[in-house]
Amino acid sequence: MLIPSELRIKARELANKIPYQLIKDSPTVKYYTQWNLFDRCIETGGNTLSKLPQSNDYDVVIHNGELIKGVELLGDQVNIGIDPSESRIIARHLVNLREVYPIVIKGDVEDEVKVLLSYGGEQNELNSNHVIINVSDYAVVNLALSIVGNGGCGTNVVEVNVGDGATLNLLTYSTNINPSFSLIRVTEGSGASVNAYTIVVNGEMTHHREDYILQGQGASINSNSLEFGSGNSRMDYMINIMHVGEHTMSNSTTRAIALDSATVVHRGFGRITERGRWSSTSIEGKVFIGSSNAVGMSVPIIMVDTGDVNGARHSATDASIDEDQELYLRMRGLSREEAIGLVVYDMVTGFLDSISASFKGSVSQIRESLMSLIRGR
Amino acid sequence: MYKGVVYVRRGARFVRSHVACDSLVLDGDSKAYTIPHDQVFEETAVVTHEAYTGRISEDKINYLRTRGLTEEEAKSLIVLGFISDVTEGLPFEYAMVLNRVIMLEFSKYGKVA
Repeated sequence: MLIPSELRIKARELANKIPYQLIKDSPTVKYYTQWNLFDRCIETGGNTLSKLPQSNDYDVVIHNGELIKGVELLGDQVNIGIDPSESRIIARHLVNLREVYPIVIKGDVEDEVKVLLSYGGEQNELNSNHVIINVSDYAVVNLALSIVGNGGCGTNVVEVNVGDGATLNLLTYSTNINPSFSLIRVTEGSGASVNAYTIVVNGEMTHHREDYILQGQGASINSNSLEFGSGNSRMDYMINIMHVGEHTMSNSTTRAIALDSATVVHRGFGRITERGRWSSTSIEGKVFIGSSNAVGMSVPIIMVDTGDVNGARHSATDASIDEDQELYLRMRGLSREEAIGLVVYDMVTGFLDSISASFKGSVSQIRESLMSLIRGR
Repeated sequence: MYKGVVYVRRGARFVRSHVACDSLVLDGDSKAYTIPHDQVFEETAVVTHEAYTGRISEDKINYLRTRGLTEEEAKSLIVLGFISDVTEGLPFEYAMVLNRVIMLEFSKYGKVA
């Protein structure tokens, strides 16, 4: 589906006018995302020569803004929920976008619905994908979403509308090479429930943002994430949870690993708005710093706009291997590097084992690629 | 509102930092924001942060009321308990004044202000 022309015109006007980010993040580290790296990326409008991804394992495949597979799941209505005035990267995404694909998932789907957003091209070529997924009321859906960058810059936006009383189990796996921006925005209706598992791996500058808007009364989100940064990766993982409906509940846990010279940032934001009375939110982050050149940062924020709150809490830790843990392992003949490798292995496998059994197929593929990444270091 | 940055530069070996900030919301119109930034450039550092925002538990008020306290007295006692970590470190005179101010704030005289 083509983007409404007025939206594209507005995006074009704003793409060079507005900043990537209006306010700096902190007095010390000005920007957690190095937006200047995106300046070298050039919009291609999807006209890039690159190898098509393997599509056999997926129900829907979108590559460089073009639908390769999954026509049968397409809906006919497009309501784009993002606006170019949000930031320059969103405006550039809308300028560069070829088409938006609305997908409708009706009824209960026992097997996982697998969606692949892939992009690739020369180092400075920017490619964009955008998909809108509508989950019908009272449906139970297992959605496995893969965002795969094979070179070049990428912007990927996924909007998910979860209907009243629906349950969505969402597994997101994102792996990138060059600068990439991913936005997953989930809006939940009354009584809707989302169990999200997210794995973000590497990238020269990966900005991965997830917005959960608990719109309906009694909606809930339970999110578990793993960030894995090695080499010279710089990753900024951000989860925003907005409690708009009453009696909503959120719980977010993030585990992050920074190895070699990687910089890994975890940002969690839980906001209970004035209308979101009697809600509760919990944000937790643990960043493991596994090397003397690695950097870990945590920004867990809670904002409570109403006194009628059930509770809001957050906690964050940035640390390397525990001294006792290291001593114990070294007493058994392991070097410090081997001990760190063991802790990393444990964190990764522990996370993968915690993912719902309904994603067995996807998890096995992810496990394979993560293990080869750990072994190859 | 709490806003804070803990910045550990590379070379600041074996730094230990812990920040805890709890907020107690006393009425329906109050707001509480907690915005920490932990930025660690040193492998040997351990930086932790925790925060909680909540309102006075009805159970606690009921418990104290069953022991003969008025609602205002119960609330002031809970608030005094909540801030005791801070008041314990204050000079005695200041702590007494602060305790008295909080007690008055929850009494009928609190309405004057």
